[in-house]
Amino acid sequence: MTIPHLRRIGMAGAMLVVGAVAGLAVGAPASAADDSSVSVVHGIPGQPVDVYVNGKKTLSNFQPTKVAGPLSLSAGSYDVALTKPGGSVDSPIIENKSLAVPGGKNLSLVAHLTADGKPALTPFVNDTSMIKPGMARLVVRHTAAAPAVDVRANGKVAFSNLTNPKQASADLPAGSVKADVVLAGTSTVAIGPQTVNLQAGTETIVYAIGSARDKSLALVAQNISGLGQAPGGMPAGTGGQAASGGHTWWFAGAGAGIVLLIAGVALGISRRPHAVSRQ
Amino acid sequence: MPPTRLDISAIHVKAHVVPTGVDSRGDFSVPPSVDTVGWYKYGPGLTASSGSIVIGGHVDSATEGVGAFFHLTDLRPGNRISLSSRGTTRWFRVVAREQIPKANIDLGRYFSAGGALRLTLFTCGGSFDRAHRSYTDNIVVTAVPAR
Repeated sequence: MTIPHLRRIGMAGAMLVVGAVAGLAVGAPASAADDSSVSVVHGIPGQPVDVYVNGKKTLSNFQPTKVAGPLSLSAGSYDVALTKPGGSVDSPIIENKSLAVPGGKNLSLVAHLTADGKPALTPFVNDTSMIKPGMARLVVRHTAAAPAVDVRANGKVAFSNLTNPKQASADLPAGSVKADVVLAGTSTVAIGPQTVNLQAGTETIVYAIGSARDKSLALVAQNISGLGQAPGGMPAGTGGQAASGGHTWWFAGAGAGIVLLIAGVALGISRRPHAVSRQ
Repeated sequence: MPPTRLDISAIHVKAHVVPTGVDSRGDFSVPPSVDTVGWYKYGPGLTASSGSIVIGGHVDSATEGVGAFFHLTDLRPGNRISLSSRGTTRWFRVVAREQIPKANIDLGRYFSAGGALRLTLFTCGGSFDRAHRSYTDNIVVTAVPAR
């Protein structure tokens, strides 16, 4: 009689401690620059989930093939659990008790199937380096229960022999590409073809998800925009007629202030922690 | 949506706008005709809700003379600018004009697809380097949405 009772108290105590630590981790003050932007990608067909971060429900009834967030998380270790909608966090479908989130990065956390069909949670760090003018970045991630694949763009192999959970990436001229996924080294189409619109200055991340055995293979796309590099220069005159001998700059000061203000607003917007929303 | 027309009554500009990108050197490709200005097609367009809509135009050219943006330096705060396409017109008002040496200019902030919506007009100015047929500075006008 006493032993189970004590055990129960012990467990309750342990849970309290975990809760307190989790609360601290979530609420830890950190400067916005240290936060990472974390998108959550659902790549397990047929199974809506609730997503818990450090024991707190963060996404409800999150549907397969959707991308949510981004969440703004400060650097640290997180406990991420996915349950059936309304299910107990103590019996998750998948859980990563120590998901390491670095500071100041852009991450995608992908719920998917491993090559042999087991649920997994895999974090990817997204490449947010600037993209040359007129170019777009295409990233392909193999997160499906399927063997090695080749990814073709307009019928030509762009990325070969990709295996779960690897990724491949290239910067390409902006425009539409017809993409499909074939079994590596063959022309046996596994997914697609699908038209992917690659916009200048935007990174398009395409996930192969689902299961070959269950015939549920599909593609999910995530976009990261605003990565376009500016042109190198602005040459806009060859005549010399407008050459100045010294203008009077009657509002240069005020102008600079206003431009700084606009730049500040821009920074404010980009740094504001994002609310959780479905995309 | 690509804008096709730019009107700035204060400096008598009625210019045709064409989409443009970068040249082989990676520089903004200003349309060759001095009467036509270029909209940066890799950035925000006419119906954008955020970021910088960039239009670049010649101040002048050695072969064609005075360009559409010759009088950009005469713009004052409050001057109104309309940018349009068939069926869509948006109004902006000038808030800033800067002259920045090309050697130091940070074009990134003027071409950003993020932040508050604004219209950025570019041309050249400053002193003229006859040997390279090039101006030393950029003239940058920033305008914000107006009713």
